[in-house]
Amino acid sequence: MAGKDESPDGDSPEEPLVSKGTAGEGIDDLGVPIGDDVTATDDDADAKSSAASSAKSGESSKSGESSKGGESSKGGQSAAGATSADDEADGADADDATEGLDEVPFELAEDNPSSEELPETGLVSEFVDVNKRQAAWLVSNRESSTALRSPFFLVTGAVIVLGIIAAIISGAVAGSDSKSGTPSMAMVGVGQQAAMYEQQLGVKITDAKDAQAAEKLVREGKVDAAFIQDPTGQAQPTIIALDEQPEVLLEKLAPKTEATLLNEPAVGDEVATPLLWGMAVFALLVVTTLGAALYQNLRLEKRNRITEIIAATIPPRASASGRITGMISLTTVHLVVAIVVAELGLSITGKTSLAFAMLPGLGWFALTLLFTAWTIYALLVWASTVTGSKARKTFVSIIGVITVGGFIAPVIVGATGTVAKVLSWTPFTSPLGIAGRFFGSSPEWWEGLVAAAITAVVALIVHSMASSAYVRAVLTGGGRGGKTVKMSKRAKKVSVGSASEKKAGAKGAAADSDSKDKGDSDGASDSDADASDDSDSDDADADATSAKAAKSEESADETDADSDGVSADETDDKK
Amino acid sequence: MLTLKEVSLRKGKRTYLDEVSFTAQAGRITAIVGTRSAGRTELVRVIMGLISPDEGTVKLEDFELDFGDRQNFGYLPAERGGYPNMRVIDQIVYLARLHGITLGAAERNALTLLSRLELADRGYAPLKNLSGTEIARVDIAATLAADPDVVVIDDAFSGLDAQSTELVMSLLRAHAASGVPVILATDNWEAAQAHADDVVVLNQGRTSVSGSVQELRSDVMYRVKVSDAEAAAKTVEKRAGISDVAVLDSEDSVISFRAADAGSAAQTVAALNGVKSFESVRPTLAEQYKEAL
Repeated sequence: MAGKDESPDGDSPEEPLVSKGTAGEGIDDLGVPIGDDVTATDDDADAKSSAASSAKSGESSKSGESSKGGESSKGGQSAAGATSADDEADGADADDATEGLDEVPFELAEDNPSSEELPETGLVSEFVDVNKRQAAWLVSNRESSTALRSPFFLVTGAVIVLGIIAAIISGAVAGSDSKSGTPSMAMVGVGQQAAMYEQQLGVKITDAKDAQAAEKLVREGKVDAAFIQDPTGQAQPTIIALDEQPEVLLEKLAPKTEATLLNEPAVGDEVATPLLWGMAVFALLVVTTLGAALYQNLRLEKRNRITEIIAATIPPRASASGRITGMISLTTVHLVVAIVVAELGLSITGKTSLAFAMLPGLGWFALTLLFTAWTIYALLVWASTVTGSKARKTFVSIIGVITVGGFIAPVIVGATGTVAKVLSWTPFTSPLGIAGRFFGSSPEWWEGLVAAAITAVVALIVHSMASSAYVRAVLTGGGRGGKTVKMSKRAKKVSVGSASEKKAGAKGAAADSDSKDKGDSDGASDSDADASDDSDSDDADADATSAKAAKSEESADETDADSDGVSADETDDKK
Repeated sequence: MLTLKEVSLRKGKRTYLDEVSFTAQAGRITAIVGTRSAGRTELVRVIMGLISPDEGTVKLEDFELDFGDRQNFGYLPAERGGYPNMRVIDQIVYLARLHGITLGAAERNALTLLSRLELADRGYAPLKNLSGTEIARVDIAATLAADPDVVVIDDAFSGLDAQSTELVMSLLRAHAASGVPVILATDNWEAAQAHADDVVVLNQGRTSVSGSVQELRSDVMYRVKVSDAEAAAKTVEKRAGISDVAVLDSEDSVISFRAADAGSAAQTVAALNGVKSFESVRPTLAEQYKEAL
């Protein structure tokens, strides 16, 4: 290939172009070198090269040819010779001019290439090799930064963090409520023995004159309950309370005998169940928010043909992988933030033991959720390549059902039993399943690893299949595969009508009628296809689509529609 | 120099491209022109490696291009739009960096191109805030920001008004002048004639005419205003046997014909009755194309 900045003849372009880049033309023109280590010889050389370049431009403007290569060096030499007499004076001027700039440290000096270093186009060519991984990273970076800036991501993040904080605070408040105050009880005629009873039972004792007085204290809410003995001593003593059983007090009076559990749950049921529901909601929020962003972006790129630009530049597989990894990185951010906030919150509120007890479950949940999210994102990439809105909607719906069902089922089933065990190893259900089991019982340590491994393998397989589908879709122009585009009857009628009108009107117009010819039915259907694809109006009914397509045909010469069937598949399916 | 040799593309029963051959010279702007369904977009996609042809080769300087060899091709498809919510400069830099250009160079080139396309003040606005012609210019900037080795633009003049077309074409001309083949696919004959150096006319997937614009427009057409165009056309047709003349068009009171030389044309005009005016004109590309068909 002919080198850039060199015309095929070896000459430089006819019109000398001026760079409008940020090149340091100004500094070069001034003859002001940058840096402390500039010597007088350098100044002279710069002055000469500056003169040479000015001579070049002068020569080119006279002859109408720009000077490059041999000519330019010749011109440069002659120009340098011609201006050598002025060099000393110029050098002196340059020295004066550099006096102030000598104090600028090299690190702070602006890196401005000289005008000679810049190509004629004014564009800088500094390239690095982009391998598949780097290409994927570029795509991933764009995906994640776009999603990061999206309000949905920010709202989801805020909801998750606030939800966790609210749960911890409400739990702490409830805990402190239950702990607050020692239970109190009124007793009849205990007198000075009240202190002894208080010490023995751990209950605050209030002395009452008689049963009526004790009952009055209960009714007034001054005590939780009253202990009333039968004055005859025949019957059992009774405990009266106002409107609810004084559980704490009764426990103090008659402590329960508890069996020692062989498999003691790490997290109690009263905490584990709401925690699992919270985790299910968290997982759904994260996956649906990021998954929706990924899917919408893919559809946008397909509509605007950015997919093609990217596919022509980097390997499509790297592009597909980049999108998925971008979203996985954001999922990781969500997980880390949520777990850190939860653990810190529990520690701050004095529930360190609970925080520690939750850790294994949360850890396996995080790992399996990452792989599950990977699978879901890969499926969404796959779904975005499916041609035809109906098929695409069905695909996305299936993904949605699997995701929601997979996250909720283990919470409903519970942590024990064979079903719970199977769910904890099955993809989609394993994040909540394995977490529930680690909270509720003590599974073997390797069970979490097995669950994560199974999910990872499934993710890899789905990723590979989705990437292949993406490559196929991109490199066959939307998977049209030679489909013949069929128009709806309504669109056909409109197109025939408009075509005949055009023909009648075009009789007078002579030469340029070719470019406005709309009679071609294939072309019409192409336009139809593109319009449908562009609109991506999944919810629009067939008639609306056809009408829109027919309308769009009128502007078909502006929107090059000779991409027969390039996106025809979608329209075809719509109809 | 980008060379396509006998490229054919078939899908099912339909032939999209049939042994298309042409060369896009470095330093020149080549326009692929054709009506709808001519196969322009398919040809562009074959050039970009997005579709593999059934037959034929695409070579860059004698090296046959395989998939993945086009990393520094600047490509702009027919339907465009970009990322609506992304800032203009971010968009250009992102697409340029996919070509392997460094971040600094990509940013510098983006600013240079935006400045040249008179969009310097729009660089930090989201794309959705720009007008249609501005978006079309941004697309061109994104295509050129990586300083590509080959530029391929489908539906090149789409969305551009007259002023934008001039800006864009001066930029593409400068890029071509730096030794890069620039290929534009369009159905705009006038724009192709005005801005391209070489033209490839596609018709039903076949190369109908190809060559430089100057060559294609070298033939002279004679236009005579007469009182009775129908009779004049018959007279010219009669003379076709005597000298090399042929009627091209006959409308109202104007008859257009082609002649081998000026002498034959003068004799033909002399044979006509009721001549009001007579002129020699170079046919436009569209007229030339019609004739070729």
